[in-house]
Amino acid sequence: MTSEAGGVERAENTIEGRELSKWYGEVIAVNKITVSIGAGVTGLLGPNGAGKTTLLNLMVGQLKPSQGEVTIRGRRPWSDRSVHQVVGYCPDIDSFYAWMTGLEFVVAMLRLSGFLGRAARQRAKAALELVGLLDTAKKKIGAYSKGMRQRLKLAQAIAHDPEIILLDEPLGGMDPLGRKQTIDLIRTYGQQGRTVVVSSHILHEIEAMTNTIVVMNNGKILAEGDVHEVRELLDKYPRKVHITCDKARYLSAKLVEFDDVVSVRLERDGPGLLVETVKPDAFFNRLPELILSNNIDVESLTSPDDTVEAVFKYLVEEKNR
Amino acid sequence: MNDVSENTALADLPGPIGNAAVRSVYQTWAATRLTLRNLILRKRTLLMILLSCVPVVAAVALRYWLPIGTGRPEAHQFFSGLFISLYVYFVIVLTAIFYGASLIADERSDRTIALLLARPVAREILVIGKFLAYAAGACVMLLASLAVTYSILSGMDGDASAFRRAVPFWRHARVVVLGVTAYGAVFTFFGATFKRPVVAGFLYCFVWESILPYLPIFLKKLTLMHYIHSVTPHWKAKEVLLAFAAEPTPPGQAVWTLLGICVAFLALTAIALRTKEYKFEKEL
Repeated sequence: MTSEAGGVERAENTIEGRELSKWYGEVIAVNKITVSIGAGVTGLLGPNGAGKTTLLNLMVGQLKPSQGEVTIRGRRPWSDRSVHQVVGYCPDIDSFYAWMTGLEFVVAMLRLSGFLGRAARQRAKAALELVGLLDTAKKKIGAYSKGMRQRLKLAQAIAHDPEIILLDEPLGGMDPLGRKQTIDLIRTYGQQGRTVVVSSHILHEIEAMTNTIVVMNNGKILAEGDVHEVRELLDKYPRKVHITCDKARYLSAKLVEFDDVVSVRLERDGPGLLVETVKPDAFFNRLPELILSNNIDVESLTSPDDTVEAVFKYLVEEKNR
Repeated sequence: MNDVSENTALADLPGPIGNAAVRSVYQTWAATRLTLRNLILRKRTLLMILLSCVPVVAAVALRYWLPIGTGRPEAHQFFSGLFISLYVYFVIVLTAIFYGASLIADERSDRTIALLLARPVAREILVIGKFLAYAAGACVMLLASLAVTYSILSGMDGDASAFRRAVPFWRHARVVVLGVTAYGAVFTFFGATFKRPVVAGFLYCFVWESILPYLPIFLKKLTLMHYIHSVTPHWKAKEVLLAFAAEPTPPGQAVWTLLGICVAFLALTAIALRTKEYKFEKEL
């Protein structure tokens, strides 16, 4: 499933990158990527600095490829700006006219796109309603929270009803309800047959939106395809689980009895322990009962491996084998 | 948040203007409107208004506080001197630097350029729309200032009609409009190209153009100020070196040259927007 020279071909690919590279001086942001993206939601997964934003900016025509080419429906976005009629772009960076209200902002963006005043206003209201901002549409952007600003960026990206939607970390700063609503919206757009590319560094966010992912690290595509394959790949390696509780030593003694637990390490300077298991599902199914039956007071339970960096580490190791 | 599958409002609403020419005109107006509001609502505008008030204050001081007596220059001489020393060298240039340079530079620093350039609008339209906003704003402000200054000094000698015959307002207004547009276009290009366009603007105006009297004739013609001088009424060159004394360019030719410079630099700005990549911190 990994791809260096050729990606997974899908019917009616709308976005194609061929041997695509982008470098800034000696820094290589995107390194010879060949990728094909078709209808539906595609998650672009990678840690910070992986090259996701650069790749999206190449797709939207804000950056010129140093080498290779990217096309949207056969047109090069850098030189053919008419592509933007069918593309909606939500950048990662905060970019607003803070003195405007949310409604004025979306209306202004639509007018720039050639929509007449009344149509622009109707569209802006419809888009703001879709992202759940209509109630606060007449509030100044300067007074918006981070999550509201994210929704506003999403509204301006979808307001002209584009067929291709490029979203750079759209869930950043949103509250749980906002995340769920935005995920639902993105999924629906995918189900409608639009091409939606969503970048994120959080695996479960992407999993909630789509099964199709492109995993990036250091400007390269490490893996491409079904998210479950990446999950399976992850399960080949011991999963780390960090537990902070009042009976760390006792719990560690209980945990080493399990076959799937390959190591347990007690923290020297704290009430925590780090467990490595090769069967995370079985481990997490068993753990609550163990905790309750032994009256253990658990302060926190985290899995450092759930961070996407762990996925990349595994994938990099896999590629190097 | 509504379900997009149930909400078909976006798909059912009217699309963009179909006719490409009409759409371009409308998009230019949209860019002008957006930019004008963005310019007006900045603190910089207060500074610009204060700047345009400087000649007015000077005119009031000359009219009411200068003792009347023999040997005092006539009002039209005051006006010409004040126009050249304050408007030509100071107010027009500073307005163009601060407003013109900010047209693109503000969009870069606010990062809104990322959204503008992702819209289906031609770069040329963005540049023209933004420049029209600047030119309209700057011309209204400076022409209002000039009109007030003119009115204050016109009755200084007691005979306003004689003053108006000696100093036609429109000829000075023409210099203001030409100066605002030509310098503005150059600094708009600076804003699209340089990281510190205001510094570049200051270097151009107060270093390169300030050595104008010391420049050989062919180099004088590489400055905007030479052509501004050529269309300024009552302008007299003060050449430091007689060998470098240059005749002003004929006014008609100077006007066309200034307009040509304006068009050329706006075209360069559009090219810069087409070819330059605007990168922000989180892009790697």
